Amino acid sequence: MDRVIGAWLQTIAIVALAPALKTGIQKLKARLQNRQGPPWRQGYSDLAKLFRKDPLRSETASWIYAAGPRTYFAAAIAASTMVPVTMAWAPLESAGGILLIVGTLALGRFALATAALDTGSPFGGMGASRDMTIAALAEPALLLGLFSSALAAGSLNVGVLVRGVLERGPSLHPSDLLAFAGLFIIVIAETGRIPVDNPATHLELTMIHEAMVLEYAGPDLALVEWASAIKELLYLTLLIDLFVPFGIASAATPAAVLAGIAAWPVKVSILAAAITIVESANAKLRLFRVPELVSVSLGLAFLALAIRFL
Amino acid sequence: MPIALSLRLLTAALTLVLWRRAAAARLVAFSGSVLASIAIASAAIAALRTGSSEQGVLFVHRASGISLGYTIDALSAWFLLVLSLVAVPIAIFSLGYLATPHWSRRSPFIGAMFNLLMGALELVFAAGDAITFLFAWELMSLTSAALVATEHESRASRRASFLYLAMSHIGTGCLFAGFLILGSIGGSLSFSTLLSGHLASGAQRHVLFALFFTGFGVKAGIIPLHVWLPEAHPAAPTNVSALMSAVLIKSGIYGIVRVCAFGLGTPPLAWGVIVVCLGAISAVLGVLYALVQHDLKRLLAYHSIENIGIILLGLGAGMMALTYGRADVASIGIAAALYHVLNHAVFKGLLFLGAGGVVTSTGTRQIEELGGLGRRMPWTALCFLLGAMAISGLPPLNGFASEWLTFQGFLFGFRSAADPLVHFLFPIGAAMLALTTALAAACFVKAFGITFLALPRSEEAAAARESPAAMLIPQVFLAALCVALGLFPGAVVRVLGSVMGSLPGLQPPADFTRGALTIASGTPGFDRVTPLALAAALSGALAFAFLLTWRRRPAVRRVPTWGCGGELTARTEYTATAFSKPIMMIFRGVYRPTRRVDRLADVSPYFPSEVRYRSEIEPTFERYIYGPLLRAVLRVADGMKVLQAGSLHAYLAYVIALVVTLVLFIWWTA
Repeated sequence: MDRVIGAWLQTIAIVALAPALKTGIQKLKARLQNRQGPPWRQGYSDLAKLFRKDPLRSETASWIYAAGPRTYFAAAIAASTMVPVTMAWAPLESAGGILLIVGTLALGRFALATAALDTGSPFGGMGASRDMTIAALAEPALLLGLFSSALAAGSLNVGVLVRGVLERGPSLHPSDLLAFAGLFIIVIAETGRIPVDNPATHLELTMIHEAMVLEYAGPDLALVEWASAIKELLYLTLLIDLFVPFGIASAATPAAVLAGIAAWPVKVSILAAAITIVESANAKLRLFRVPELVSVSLGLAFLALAIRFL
Repeated sequence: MPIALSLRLLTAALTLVLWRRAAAARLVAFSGSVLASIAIASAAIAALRTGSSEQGVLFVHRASGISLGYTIDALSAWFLLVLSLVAVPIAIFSLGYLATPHWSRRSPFIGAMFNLLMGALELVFAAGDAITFLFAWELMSLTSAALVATEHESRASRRASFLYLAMSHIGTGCLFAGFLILGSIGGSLSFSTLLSGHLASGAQRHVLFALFFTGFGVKAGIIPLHVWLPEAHPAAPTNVSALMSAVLIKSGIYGIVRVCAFGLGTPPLAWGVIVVCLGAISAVLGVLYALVQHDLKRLLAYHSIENIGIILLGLGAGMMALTYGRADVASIGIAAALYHVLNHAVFKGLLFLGAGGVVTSTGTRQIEELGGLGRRMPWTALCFLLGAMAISGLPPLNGFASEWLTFQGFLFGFRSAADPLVHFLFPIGAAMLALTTALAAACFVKAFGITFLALPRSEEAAAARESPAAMLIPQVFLAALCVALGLFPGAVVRVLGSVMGSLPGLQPPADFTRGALTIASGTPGFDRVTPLALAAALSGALAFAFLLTWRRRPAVRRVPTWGCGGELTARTEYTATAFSKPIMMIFRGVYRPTRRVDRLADVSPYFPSEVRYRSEIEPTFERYIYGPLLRAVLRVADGMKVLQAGSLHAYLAYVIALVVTLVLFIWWTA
């Protein structure tokens, strides 16, 4: 019973702490640019403000327009119920493994991209087209990277996989490094970070994800923003689970659980800092240079599989 | 089986009798079809449940000793069940669809041909010997070609029908050759002898595989044998397109499973490799070509090629596992292929019916002229959306379940193969499958979004009306089936278990299913999926989202979309061409697009009065394979014209020469 409650608390933690991750990245980015950055509560204040507003929708939009952000949000939460966070089991890990997680996130993306076409604004279509294109290119690299580490552990189920890695101890196989590098690129592409997409741009024509949700306002926008943050935290947690799950609580004892709760934010912060540094040190790529970046990731995933299994 | 087939013949005859009374003919044709389908389905269910096969003789020709026999074993029963499951909604849809003024006059012809085609399909799946099979196969090709040419006054229809006939006969020729070779070795034409697996050996086996794979591959639409498919499917009336895309092309898959995978003995490694490679090519190229299509029916036709590719990926993984003697892995791959046969039939049938509704109500197939139909045709839009999500492989719908199984087949094969080169085929296949599903999602965001959302792009789209109930109910049924087949994968796989049991060399893993809700991939803890759990989590999270945005009084403000300072009209909307443009640019090595922009200016070139834009992709296969082939055939035919000189004496000389040669041949061999 404790395990079940603990497992669900992890999902609540992902959902609740996601806005803080976004603010944290903004803060660090500001520091790197010698600015002060927003206070920690900023992410929550933004969401609260948006939720308080009255919904505003286009005259041409149908129910699809309202369903898009809700499905996107629900898919992000549903996917995070299958990933262990501070304890070595997830609340719904029996539902499925990495294939189902990737599929669920694809469901959210499909819903949001479809909804973006509903207002008749060319920006929505532009963003949806670019988002779906990049996602299509990233999908093979993402799955192969995930397969490489999952096959080494002998399970596609993240919970089983984490427990297996904990039992065997660190392997430090070179293929892990390659797979990690490949997946890191994909995480940047999937979460809309520089050099693939610029989350803070003010130019609609260079936007990808932001162009897709340009027409949204009020509570609808709040759901989109929140879901994107959950997705980002989820991807980082997934990377941690696959490559460095150490410190995660494998038993339901207070000491182990506390250690798990302490280890997770530290590891997420390190990864988030890496993303911030990449974002601060690079310029955004042209859209048609993104395939090159993604093919680097695909190549790394293939190499990882080759080293491990040939 | 005999009852159902005689019902088909009777219905077809009665429909032709009622030639002048279109409404009565429709009612007879399609209610008869529904009854016959139900009879077939119950026979199929009985065969699947008991695991025994039903056999019988349909017709005996005393003088020649030729008889037409049928055998419904588990594999036949599975395909018959898929056929009936889709044929019933299509028949009901036809009642509404053919009642429209455009088709009404031709509905007796379509009704009669539809019944003949259905009978031929049922006989193809149930044939117990080569003669019955080839007879039914030919009847199937001819009736469907006749249906493709329904609108024979248009040149495009005639061309499509001719191309289809020509390609079909290349395939049928290969099948004849294959069955004759097998028959001459085995001395009997019944499938139980022909396909026992130990007739042929050595190089002969490879020749037979090549003949059968080509023959069945033409019908399945495997790239590069696919050229007829995107022409023929859109040209037919939509109810026939639905039947062709959903089930008719599966007759090729049925043949490949029955003959190539299990009828010629344990497949050597090379066969599995060929099937996987052609599957990957068909899947990726099929979806890439679909992305740049803006004709709704042609887009769906290219997606059929893609899905045939996905089926072949699972089948090829299974065949490779058969080579290695891994009965459990082979079962996963074959189950994935057969599950996807069912799923594709359901969602492609649904999507074609939706497209039929759209075309009927707007009069155009070009999605660039549509838009905003979601408000005018809400039920069609909802069903089409579910079909689009299912074909994109999104959980918890049915497309995800079979694609999940295909991935498992690959990952398992990857772990069990011994050959290092084969090792690498598996991740490549898995990557291709991932790319295919993601591109399919992009394509259906386009197809659904441009057709059903935002502002109408033409007056016809603005004046669209919802389809009548006879056309909607079948769509709702198929959409519900997409959901049910996705939520209860365990139940489907358990039914497939009896098909597995009847095929040689297969042994489903012990914990393949856990109840009706879960499928697992075989070894404990490797992977399993329970879509219903995901559906529950999704609904819970959706409820949370609605709670967050709930208002005591609904205060949604409606405002015009911001048009960047200008007026927002249908002309400023994003188009389907623009939507797929990034993918076209990225894969320009595949498409090799050419474009031409003409500016017509009156006064100054900076103020064009009219801009003409034309963009097309290179038809690679038509230009580089079929073009030279066609020219070569015509050149040979030209040379052979000398023989057909029109002189009676010459012809008599040929006959005498032939007789003399035959006599010498017999004398020499005796």
